[in-house]
Amino acid sequence: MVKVTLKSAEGDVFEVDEELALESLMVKNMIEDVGLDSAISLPNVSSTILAKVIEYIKFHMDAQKDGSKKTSEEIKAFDDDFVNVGIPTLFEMVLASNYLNVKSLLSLTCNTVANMIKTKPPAEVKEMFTSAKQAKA
Amino acid sequence: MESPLPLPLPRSLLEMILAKLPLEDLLRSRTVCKFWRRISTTKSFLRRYEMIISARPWFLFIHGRTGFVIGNDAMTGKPRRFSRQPWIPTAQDTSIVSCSLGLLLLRDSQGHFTVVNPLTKETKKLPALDMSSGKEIVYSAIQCSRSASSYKVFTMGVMDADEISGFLYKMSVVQPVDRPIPVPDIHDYKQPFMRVYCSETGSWTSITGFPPGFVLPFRALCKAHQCFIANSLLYCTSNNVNNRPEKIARFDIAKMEWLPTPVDIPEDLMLMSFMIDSSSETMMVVADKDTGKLFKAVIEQEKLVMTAELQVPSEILPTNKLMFGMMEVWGFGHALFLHVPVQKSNAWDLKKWDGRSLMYEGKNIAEEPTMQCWFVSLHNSAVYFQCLPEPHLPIGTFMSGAADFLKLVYTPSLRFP
Repeated sequence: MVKVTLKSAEGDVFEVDEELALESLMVKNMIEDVGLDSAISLPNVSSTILAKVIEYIKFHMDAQKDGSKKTSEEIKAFDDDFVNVGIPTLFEMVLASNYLNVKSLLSLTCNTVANMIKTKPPAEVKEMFTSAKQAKA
Repeated sequence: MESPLPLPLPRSLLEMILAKLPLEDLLRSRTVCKFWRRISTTKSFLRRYEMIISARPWFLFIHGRTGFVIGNDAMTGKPRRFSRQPWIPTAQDTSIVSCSLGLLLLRDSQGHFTVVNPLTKETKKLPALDMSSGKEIVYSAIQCSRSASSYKVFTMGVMDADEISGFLYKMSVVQPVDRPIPVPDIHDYKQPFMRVYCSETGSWTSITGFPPGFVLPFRALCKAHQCFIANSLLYCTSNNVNNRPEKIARFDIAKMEWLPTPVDIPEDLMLMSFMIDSSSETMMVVADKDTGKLFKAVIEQEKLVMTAELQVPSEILPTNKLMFGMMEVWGFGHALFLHVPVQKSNAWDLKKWDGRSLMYEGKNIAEEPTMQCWFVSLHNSAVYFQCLPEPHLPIGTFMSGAADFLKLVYTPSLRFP
């Protein structure tokens, strides 16, 4: 199996299957442009987040494979658990999935944020976004 | 300069997130900060929102002069409450007459039409029609294009209505279903006219050439008449001299002309409503006058064909014919809404009904709160009902000002008028 080397913002190196790496359209384009010889540098994604994104893609690839015993409930439970993180991390995942162009993850994380906005009074929404900004800064 | 934004995300992502919100939450989110408000009011955002929003249709039961009376989720029948009333600009002589994909069409007696989006409160006045003396509008409808942002407004009416209306008002009769009122030959008076407004050109066009024998109903005498638009066809009824809906006429909106052959409505059937069935095809709800049963009917090869009985339990249907004639049916997909007049006492017997006034034996029948609203789901042939607490409308309002009431299936959207 061909491996692809991804390099996070901190310079940590992640070696993943090519099949997995291609799920990110951004990485796919990079591979098409520069080939597999050198590591793909992802200066906008931190190691923590990159590890999470890889975990997400891996789980869903396995779940889609023939012979997978995962039920839709299990997949949903995984997704719910996956986005059950602090708001700053969630926003970072939104940004990363947008940057890496992983459609399913972007949709999952955006939906999560939308669900958090739902039914909240505007003041709380503002608070939520302000705190995330401060945490980031 | 912009104040510091509570925005750890770039605008494009924020737009994506806001576009996932249900309408109520989107409107609320506009008060978070100016920037959010600006994002969610740009045209590009709203167009995108409209495509994403999972707008569920509502049944609306409308009193023409005062705005909304009741709305229900068309899928579940649950009542929808509106936070503020009225949210429609209504004036003394203005009525809501039609809706399409989120826009409402308002009409006043002078032939002024206004297109409104009740959610964004944007309005647009259309150029006035020449409503010189004697012209009377009978049908009006709006149709929004699904793919483009344009819409068309259709209106039909009669010239020389004064004489007929005067005659009819003098009679001031509420017409029992099985007692047609003999009316002198009025074909000569009732010259129909039809105008179509297209939002792209911004002007009205006149349509001439009606199908043979096309007679518009009298507005003064009938239940709220409605034309109905679905799948690029406009449907309306053509009446006979006794004002009984006799034929269904169809107008092809793409070709802008009438289909040559109107469809006969058999004598023993009463056309209750046009609607969309669960596979988005046009269907009609018809009632058998003898048995009082409701059927689904479709037009096949220029004929009205009954295809299935609608499983509406007979217990809730009115038993006498007068009541039956006053029943309102409308529906969407797999659901029917029935407004059923309820017989409270034996006083409501057609035989004792003098047919001329709203008084019965000295009692003003308008005082009897005897209207019930039923939701009947026809999904998977499973039938259930829910008797809604509202509206308890005085039955007299139906009889005296029937044309003021309108039933609509409204789908909220943020489309621009």
